[in-house]
Amino acid sequence: MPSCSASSNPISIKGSRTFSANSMSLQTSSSDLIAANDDLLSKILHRLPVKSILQFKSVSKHWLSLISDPHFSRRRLNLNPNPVAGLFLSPWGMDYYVERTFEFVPLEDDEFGPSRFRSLPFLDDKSAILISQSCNGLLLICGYREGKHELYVFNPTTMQLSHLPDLLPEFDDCKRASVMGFNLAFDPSKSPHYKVVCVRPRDSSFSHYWIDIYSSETGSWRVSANPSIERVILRFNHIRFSDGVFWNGSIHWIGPFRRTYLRFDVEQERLQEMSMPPIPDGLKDEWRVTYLGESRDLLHLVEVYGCTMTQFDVYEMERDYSR
Amino acid sequence: MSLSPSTSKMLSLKSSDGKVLEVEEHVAVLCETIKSLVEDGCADSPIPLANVDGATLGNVMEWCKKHADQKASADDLEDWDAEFVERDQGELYHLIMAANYLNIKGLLDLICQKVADMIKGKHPEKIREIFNIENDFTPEQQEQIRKDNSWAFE
Repeated sequence: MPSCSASSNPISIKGSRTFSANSMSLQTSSSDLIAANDDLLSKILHRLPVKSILQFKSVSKHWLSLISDPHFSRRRLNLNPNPVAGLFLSPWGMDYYVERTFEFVPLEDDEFGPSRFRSLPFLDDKSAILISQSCNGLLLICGYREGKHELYVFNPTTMQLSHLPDLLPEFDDCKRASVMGFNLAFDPSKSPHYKVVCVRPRDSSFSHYWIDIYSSETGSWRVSANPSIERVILRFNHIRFSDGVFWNGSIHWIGPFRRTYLRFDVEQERLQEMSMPPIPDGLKDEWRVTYLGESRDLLHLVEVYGCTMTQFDVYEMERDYSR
Repeated sequence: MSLSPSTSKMLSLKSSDGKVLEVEEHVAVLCETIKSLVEDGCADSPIPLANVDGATLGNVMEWCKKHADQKASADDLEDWDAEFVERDQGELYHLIMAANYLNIKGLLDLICQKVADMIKGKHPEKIREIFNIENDFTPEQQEQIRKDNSWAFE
């Protein structure tokens, strides 16, 4: 039996508030009701730029708890998927490893303003460091000192830095320097935790390989070794496993020779070979530059044929890898 | 039951202050709350809307009428919406409450965006004033939040 009245939604009053004489006017009482309704208040706050949201944490305890709730940032992300704040440019040259200043080119409206992040002040000058990857707002920084890798994950917005523990030594019977690449996997719309994926040989004859996975949730490394992963790596050991692109839950690597690329599903820990679009007719013998990247939640493959061409093909991948 | 414009009949809506508004059914059913009453066969008498005053109800129905018009293009609607939200804060808050109560997602999204645009970049003290919120932090807690989020306060 349907109820034939439009009943009012219950409104819970949270937090303390003051009612002064003039605040009882119609106008203010309506804004009071909104401020007391978590649903409505969240709907408004979700639409604010990050900077305002963080500032508004200091409005009241009620606002602080609402904004600090992990669901809040996840819902906000779903509303504004894949914002691109800007580009970090690092100078390229002989000082590649030691240069520590960066340019930031903002692409969003004035939301972030000029970035504070221009350098890496927290690392001492003697270690060689390299910003090896950027993934959805986090940077993976690889350092190398005294014969071993130092890994950091850095949030350039909040200037928070995490120093990752060393790779598991018991599996490290060959030199750590032989690590073929570290890759960052972070998707804040799925989980607040990130993973770092490392591909390395497990003996000095380079005939066996495995993948190490660090999880920020557990704070430790774990080995993902299975025969199928090893078989694929062995066939593709010419690939630069340091240049992976994280998209759609998987890390993607392209190699210089074959028309295939590798996809490592970080959740399922499955490594598989995928095929690339065919080279257009007549360009098979041309010199070719290939770039794989991720932007605004699309995987892009850019190919430039010949050294004089200014036109190039950009391929976008569907999420189900159909085309 | 058909809700198409050609067979649309009139519905009476009664606001909290007793005003009765006659609205075409295909316009009024943009409010999910009213739509379910119509579908349940409960929409014959004037529908009492105890939480919406007459002036706000008029504004809401103006928006529904525009958005029920199938001839309006997306660009047209966008321009029209931009003009529609040019109101004083009091009216906007009433519209949010009404859109929430009547369950009109499009209107709710529109006004929430407008209010967000109005309050972004404002000082927290100004926000407390707008929403009549008491600052229940100690100065030490306040300072800690500023420190934890220092980049946002620069």
